[in-house]
Amino acid sequence: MGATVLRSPAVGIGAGVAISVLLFFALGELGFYSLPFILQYLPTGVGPAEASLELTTLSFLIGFGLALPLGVIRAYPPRIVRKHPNVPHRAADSLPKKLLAWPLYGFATAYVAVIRGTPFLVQVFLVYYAVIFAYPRLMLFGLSAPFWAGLLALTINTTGYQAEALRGGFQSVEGSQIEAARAIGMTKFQTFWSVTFPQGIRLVTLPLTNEWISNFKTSAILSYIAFAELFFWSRTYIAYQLARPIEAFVMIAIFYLVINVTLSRVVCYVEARRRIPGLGTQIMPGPHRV
Amino acid sequence: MSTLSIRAVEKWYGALHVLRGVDLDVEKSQTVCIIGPSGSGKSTLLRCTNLLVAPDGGEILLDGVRVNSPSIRPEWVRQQIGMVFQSFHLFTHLTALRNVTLGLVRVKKLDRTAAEAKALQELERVGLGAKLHAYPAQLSGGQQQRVAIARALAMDPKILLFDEPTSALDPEYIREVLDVMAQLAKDGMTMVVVSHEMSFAREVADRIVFFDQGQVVEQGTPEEIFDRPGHDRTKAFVGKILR
Repeated sequence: MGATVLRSPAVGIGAGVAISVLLFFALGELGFYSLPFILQYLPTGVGPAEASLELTTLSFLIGFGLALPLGVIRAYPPRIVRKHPNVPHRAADSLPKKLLAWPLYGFATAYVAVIRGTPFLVQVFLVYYAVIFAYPRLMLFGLSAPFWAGLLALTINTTGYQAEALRGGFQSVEGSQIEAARAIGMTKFQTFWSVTFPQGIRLVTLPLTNEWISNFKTSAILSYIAFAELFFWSRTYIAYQLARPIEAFVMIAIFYLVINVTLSRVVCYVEARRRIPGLGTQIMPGPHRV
Repeated sequence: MSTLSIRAVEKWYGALHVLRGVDLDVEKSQTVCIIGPSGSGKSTLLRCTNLLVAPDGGEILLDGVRVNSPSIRPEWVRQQIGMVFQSFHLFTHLTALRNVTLGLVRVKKLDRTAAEAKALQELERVGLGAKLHAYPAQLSGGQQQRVAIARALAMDPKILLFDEPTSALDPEYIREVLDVMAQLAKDGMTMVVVSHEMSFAREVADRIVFFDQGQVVEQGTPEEIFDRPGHDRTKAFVGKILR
């Protein structure tokens, strides 16, 4: 059927790539920027692109590890037991449990609020100055302060966003699934690891992919602390040194676009391969979402 | 001694008094059918029985032992009292086989081989030996409910609770689920079934309990309840479902 052909992912991607490439060459021919210059200097961006990718991926993975406990804490807020005059007394949480649960929940909530409520630029500078003041001549594994400050800032940032995505994932696992697990005698802990976690992670694949892409684009801000990533390269080298500001932006757009589209394709493919029928929202292949 | 005794069980949801002093006994190998209008507290009674929700008063006795007590882990009680839900509640991320083995591995601490052998046996018992690796979404409603029964059976419960097991099924799948339940009754399983399936209630149940407004109104043999109900509310309700 015609509709099926149009929706096929290969056709969608093919059309998108063809149109982008055409537009790219057309604008070049019209004189918006110099095509030969871009093609000549594009390879000099590969090293900075690798730096961006490494930093983004590393911070994303560490952030996932940190976000997991935060997401769990956020997904299960401490109970408030309201007493009703007619209802016989019901046991509230024990005191030690309360003393632990409230501060943890308060911390996780405050963390997420601060990270999501302040600009990343501000977070970067605060972290950078903190690192510089503490270790003025920081050098670890041959990497200097801008890298470590950048990694730290990006990790702190993505942790907040991932924690919130994970909370959403865990909370959207249906109550019936948890009831079923409890009904065969599983403890709360077993229920979480055997049911809520595996289902929640699947529900959260798409939001986490978005977070990686967003993290990758956010890493451009690290150029302000002189970390030699993509944006830093295009700004200092292409725009200032070679005095080609328009080309600098076109080139950086090419790098980001190619990397982000490739990643989201890979995730789509893996998700489709490992998909469990009847569970989660499918990541749309094809022109509907790139 | 009854396998299950429910004594003066109370439950409140906020200001709503859902269970008002319920008493019920179920003898070993008996099948008890609970009927009653929706909202009368039948489901809540089952959930209080296996402590999925905590009763606010009264006692649940399993083989004479009070189980709604702080000294007994509710997880242990739920393992003894199996439950089959109206909308199956199969784990959507697991195959039929894994749905059954999960409890065996995590709760009963069987090793994988033993768990799979046991699961296979229970799935064959409900006629699904050929669907081991299907995910719930790939099974019909009737097949899903039979997997759910196998999952409950695998834990070797002393008693099985069924909460309207056929109400969410398309008509063509009701029979296969009822047949499995009838076979269980014949094999000597102790069962409490909330259901309005008249054929099942008449042919399989040893006793019918009419439940209304959080209380047991009347109970007796299927003939007594359906043909000669004593209470006006029973008469009215039976009249409606028999029509």
